[in-house]
Amino acid sequence: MKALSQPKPSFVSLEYPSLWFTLGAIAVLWTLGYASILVFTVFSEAFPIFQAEGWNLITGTEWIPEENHGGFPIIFGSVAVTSIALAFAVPLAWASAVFTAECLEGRLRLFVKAVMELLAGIPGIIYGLVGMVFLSPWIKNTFHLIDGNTLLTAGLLLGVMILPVLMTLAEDAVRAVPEEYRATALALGLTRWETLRSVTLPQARSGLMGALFLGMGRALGETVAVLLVIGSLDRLPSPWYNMLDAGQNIPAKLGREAAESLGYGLQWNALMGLGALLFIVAASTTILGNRFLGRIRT
Amino acid sequence: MLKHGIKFETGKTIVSDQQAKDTESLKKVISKSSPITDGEEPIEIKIEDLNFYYGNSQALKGISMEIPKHRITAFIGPSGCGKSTLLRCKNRMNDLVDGARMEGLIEIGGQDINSLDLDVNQLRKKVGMVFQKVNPFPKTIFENVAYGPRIHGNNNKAELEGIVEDSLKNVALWDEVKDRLNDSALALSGGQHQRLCISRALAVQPDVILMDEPCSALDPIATAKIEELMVNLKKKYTIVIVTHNMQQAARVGDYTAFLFLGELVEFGPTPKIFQNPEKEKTEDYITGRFG
Repeated sequence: MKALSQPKPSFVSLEYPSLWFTLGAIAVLWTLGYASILVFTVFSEAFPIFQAEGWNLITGTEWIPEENHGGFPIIFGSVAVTSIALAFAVPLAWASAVFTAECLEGRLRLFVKAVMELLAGIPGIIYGLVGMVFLSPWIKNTFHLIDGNTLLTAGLLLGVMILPVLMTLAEDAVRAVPEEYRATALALGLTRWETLRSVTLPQARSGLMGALFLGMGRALGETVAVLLVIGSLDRLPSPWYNMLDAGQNIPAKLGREAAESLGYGLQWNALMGLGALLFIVAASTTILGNRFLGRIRT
Repeated sequence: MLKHGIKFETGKTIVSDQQAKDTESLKKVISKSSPITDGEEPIEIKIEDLNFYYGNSQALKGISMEIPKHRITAFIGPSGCGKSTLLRCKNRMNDLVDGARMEGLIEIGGQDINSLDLDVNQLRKKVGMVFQKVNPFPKTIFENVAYGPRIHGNNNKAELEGIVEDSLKNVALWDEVKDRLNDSALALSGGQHQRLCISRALAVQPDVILMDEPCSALDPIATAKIEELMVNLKKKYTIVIVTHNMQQAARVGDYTAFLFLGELVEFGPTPKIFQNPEKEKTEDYITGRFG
């Protein structure tokens, strides 16, 4: 019994055929290699912009290629668009998740769930096209604007996009609350509603938060749909809270300009700097989200 | 009692020595328990011609019985015989099961529990339940016990403290936890967990307590404590317990009901069921020939 004679935790189990072991190890190293090349590339390409302009990339408000790379309006745009998306999607997603998990039964629930998951799998460009055709003109007409491509448009579209992911994850979280807790609460004479409020929701809280963060990560990184409807202007809206003004977010900026500035000068380094920033924030929200979701699984 | 002896001697049965010993020890246990006075006992739960279906399959068939007040009634029978279903009919927990359907009459304290104007939540306050799977909420010990009364609208701190103390004393847990009421309930041991769950059920002041195999996950010492507790609790509560453990039924049950394939085969005072059963099926089960 090898396992018994090795009381210390070990990192590698050698009890497999050597060919399989070797191939597997190569595959894993390859994957890790990709990941490190990716991280290394982004950060090393980003480095010169911080060397040349300091924190201007984060605090500066004016972006003139090769002269001044003030990324604040773009970062602001990312935050604004993501916040709108979350403000729109989270209440809706949580409410429909709780409703689906608690009030729907059997096949109807499975049907609703299947639709949610189907929506989650639709490519961003499709959402973008619908946004262009429907949402943008609607915003334009409703608010009497010259152009319907605004921060609000992008935010709402993003909200619609992350809604299915948020809903299906949140629904899982509510379903994951052990049935015994519900049964116990009901057996104590609580109504369904009291049980939901005092047992199920508190138990599902961390899962609901996890769903929120994963949705946020997706909203932060979404490129093409946003690019089509955000208006693509690298400036702060005026006044700053005017969400009916055109704007820019990090992925759309990169998507539109990366190809033409590939490997060339400070403009390129500045774009990579924004990319690095996005990478850090999006990775953090994903890790955070998985932490929250992991807690309900154990 | 003689019946067994004769069978053993004539060797007609296929009962093993071990089973014979078990049966003997069961009988010893019974003889120790206090005899039940014959004659009319007040009835807490009355069941008449109860049929129960999960979809198309019938789980309970024409069950009629009267469960006496302030006594412990044990349901025994092999897995799938319907004893848990019968238990869950009494606080209508089966309502939660898709496609479940109940026919017949159940009266608890004179009240038809299936009548349309009955508030099922009030029923469940009066008919508490303790589950097989030990399941304290991930809250403090205090909050676990205070949980029911609090949600039912009692926010008076002093009253809640009183309820918690009484409920914990009722399950002999008070001395063990009184200094750490604000610690997480999850830190307690398995046996303490189950006693906490019982006290949580007591805190909403039920008349009846249903126990669905409350000791099946516990070690013998914890089990003994729960059984002792049940015997104390029957002074104030009517207790119905489902158990796989016939020794347990014999030790704590004043009355025992034997169910088989959804039918109530035999129901009566525990000593009679274990020593002198009327039906052959009951005897076969008790002597360990199946189940």
